Amino acid sequence: MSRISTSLTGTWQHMKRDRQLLVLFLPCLIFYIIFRYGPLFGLTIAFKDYNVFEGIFGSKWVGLKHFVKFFSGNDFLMLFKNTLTLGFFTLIFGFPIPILLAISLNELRVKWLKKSIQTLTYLPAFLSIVIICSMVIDFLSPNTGLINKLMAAVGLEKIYFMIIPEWFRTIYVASDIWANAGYDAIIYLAAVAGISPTLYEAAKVDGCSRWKSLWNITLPGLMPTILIMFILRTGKMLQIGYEKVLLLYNPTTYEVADVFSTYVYRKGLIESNYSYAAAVGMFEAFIAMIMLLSANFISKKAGGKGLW
Amino acid sequence: MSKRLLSMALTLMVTSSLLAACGSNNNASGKETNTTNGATNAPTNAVVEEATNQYGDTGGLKLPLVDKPTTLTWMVVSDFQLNDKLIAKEIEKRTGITVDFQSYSATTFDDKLRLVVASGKLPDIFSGLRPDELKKIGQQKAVVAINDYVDILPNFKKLYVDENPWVANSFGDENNNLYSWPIYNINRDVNHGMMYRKDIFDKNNIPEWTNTEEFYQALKKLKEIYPDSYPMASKTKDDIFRDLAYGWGIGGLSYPAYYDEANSTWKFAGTQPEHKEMLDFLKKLYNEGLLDQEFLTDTPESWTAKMTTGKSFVTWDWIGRLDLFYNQVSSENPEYNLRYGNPVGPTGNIRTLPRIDADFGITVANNGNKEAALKLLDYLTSPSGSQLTTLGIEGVNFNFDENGKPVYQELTDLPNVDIKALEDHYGMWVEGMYLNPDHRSVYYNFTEKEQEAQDKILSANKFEPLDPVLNLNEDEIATIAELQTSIIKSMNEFNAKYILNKNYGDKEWADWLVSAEKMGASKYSDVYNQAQKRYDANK
Repeated sequence: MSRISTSLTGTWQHMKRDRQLLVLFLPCLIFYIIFRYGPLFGLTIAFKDYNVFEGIFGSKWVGLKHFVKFFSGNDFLMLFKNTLTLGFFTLIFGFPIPILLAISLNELRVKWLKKSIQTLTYLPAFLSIVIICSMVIDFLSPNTGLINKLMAAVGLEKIYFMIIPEWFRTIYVASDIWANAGYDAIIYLAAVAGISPTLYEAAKVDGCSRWKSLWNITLPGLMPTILIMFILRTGKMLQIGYEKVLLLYNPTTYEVADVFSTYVYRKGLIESNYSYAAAVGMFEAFIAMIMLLSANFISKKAGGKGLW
Repeated sequence: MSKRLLSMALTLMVTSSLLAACGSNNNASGKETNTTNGATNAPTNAVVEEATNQYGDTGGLKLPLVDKPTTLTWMVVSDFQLNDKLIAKEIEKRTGITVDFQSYSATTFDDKLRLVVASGKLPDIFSGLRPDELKKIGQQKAVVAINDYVDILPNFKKLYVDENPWVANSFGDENNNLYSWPIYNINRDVNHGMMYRKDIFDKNNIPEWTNTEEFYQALKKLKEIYPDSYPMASKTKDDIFRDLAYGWGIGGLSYPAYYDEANSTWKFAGTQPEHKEMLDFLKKLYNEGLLDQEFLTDTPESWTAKMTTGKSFVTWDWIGRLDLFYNQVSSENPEYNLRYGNPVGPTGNIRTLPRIDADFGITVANNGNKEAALKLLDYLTSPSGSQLTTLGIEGVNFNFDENGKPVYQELTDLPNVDIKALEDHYGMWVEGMYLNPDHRSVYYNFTEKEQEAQDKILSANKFEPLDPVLNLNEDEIATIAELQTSIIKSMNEFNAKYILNKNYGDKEWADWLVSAEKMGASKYSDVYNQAQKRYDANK
């Protein structure tokens, strides 16, 4: 009894002592409650036959009906495979590029060149996805596209990239790298800048070559950032933007391009099948959570640091 | 201390202005305002007669429609604020009903509508829900079953009960309750079709095609003369199959389901022999470089570029394009002459556009204002109301010229008085508000090229018969929705591969028939055949 009351007074005293800090935290808490946790309540429609007019409360409970329907449907395996492969490739190829970019930019000593390369590489991140996609389609056009003209100039056969399923993933990943690598590199550049210059000076005095100092100082200094970014990216692996796939795919590439999010879009928005779409979306989020947790676990086991 | 005071004052200000904003919003929604002014004198009979006669043929409705000032909210698709426009004021003057128009642009309307519906606070009149959604909320008594009020709606009764009794059977629910107010006779006869560069055809002595073989020969000749070109281009991506299907007799408004008139049965278009013929034809065009390689991925921009720079000469599109393209390039290429061509495909026909359309989903919320709202819709359906919303007020904003065409004095400076200009200036032709357009309106003024298109198809009567409009019940809609996502996707996938892949042929077609069957192709058409039986029994 007395222990509980002391711990309670303890908490109370803490709160009293830190009241100003707590007030500062309050807007953040309210934001999360209203905009992050509140909407989670809407997920209940995945277990109901949601009827817009009756509202979330009024709709009938149907248990796992929508999940069962989804798992037993024709599309499930294809969607699962596509989402996973597309996410995996984006991660594997898209993740190291910003790091390489940041390191090579750091090694570049000509200041104006460094600045202009950096600006050029992060510029596409500010373009809307629609523009990015139409640029990609234009570049790859067999008749008028830059890439095909270049290929023709060196005597290669023209390729109609957009309709060949084998090319879809490459196009998706490459355009993703093109659009985002420069922007993602900013974080690594900041981390590199945070490494104490005295380490480099000491290494130089000891006769360390630039290559060696890169290997022994810059990379280890970047490692914590890389790990954390990697874990975060794993969690996002399945979050493949539906806009981009929608803008890039066409009937011939459906078999490799259709992913959970485009499926949710078609089912949910176009056919107003909200409950079913919510079930699919929930499943997607569930897988993402498992992946995030396991990446964190592996990272900690491997001796590095995790997110928590 | 003073800082603290200042911040408190600021907080208070922000909060109070927020509250005020909410409050004023409530007032603007109008329901309160109509009750405040309730006790006005009801008009006498003589006044009613006079008012009614003054505004032309109201179809038997008495004006004003209400005996006390009434305010209705009406959600419409428009880029303009309508409440101060001529039409809104005129409606108030004639009917006694003040309409508070809530307009949202086409891009945001759908989202807004879903929010409004989800909130359960429906505007008195609104449109935009799909027919099946409307039936659902209609059965929950959220919107009005219009048939229940037929005796106070003479214009509705005339058009949709007496003259076209099939309307309730087609657009209503299982009990023939109709929840959406149909639009009468809005379509022009010809709105889409094949078009070709007549200047190029003439220059090379290629006659316009009159059948599919001649079409092929014409493209072939063009390819010989312009080897770098792809004579036929397309911007509709995989919709090309749906649009061309009419020429092979397998098109319809319910595509990929269509009604085969010869056998009186519904069929799934994607597995019919005619469909294969169409694919074979497109494959031939594709293989010989006559059909644009990029026909499945062309964006409107790349398509426009091809059609205006002499890379492509034939396409399928909306007839407005005939002049749009000309206007775009006439300064550099005054010869440019895009014309409406004959249909392609063995039937030689294009689609028939429906005379009565309930897909706009114009509906009335089930609340205290419903009778006034229904009467208002009935008035706007009458010749008098139709004239008001699509032609204007003669002598006020327009006069007829000697050819019987409307001339808007205030708009004579505009290069082109189209329905958008009328919407901007007067609040006419607002989507969701026109119910029975007056065919003297500018919308039916054809340019020379458009008139040619109408004449060409009308004189030879090249129309595919209109399929019956069936009334699917909730289960049937669910079945279709479930089949649709996978089967249409696979069909498009197969179509594309069949045309693009040199190795695809009869064997792959046979494989497709098997897999389409597995995915429910005949289940798909069965749904329609069931509904057709019910439809016939109900007649």
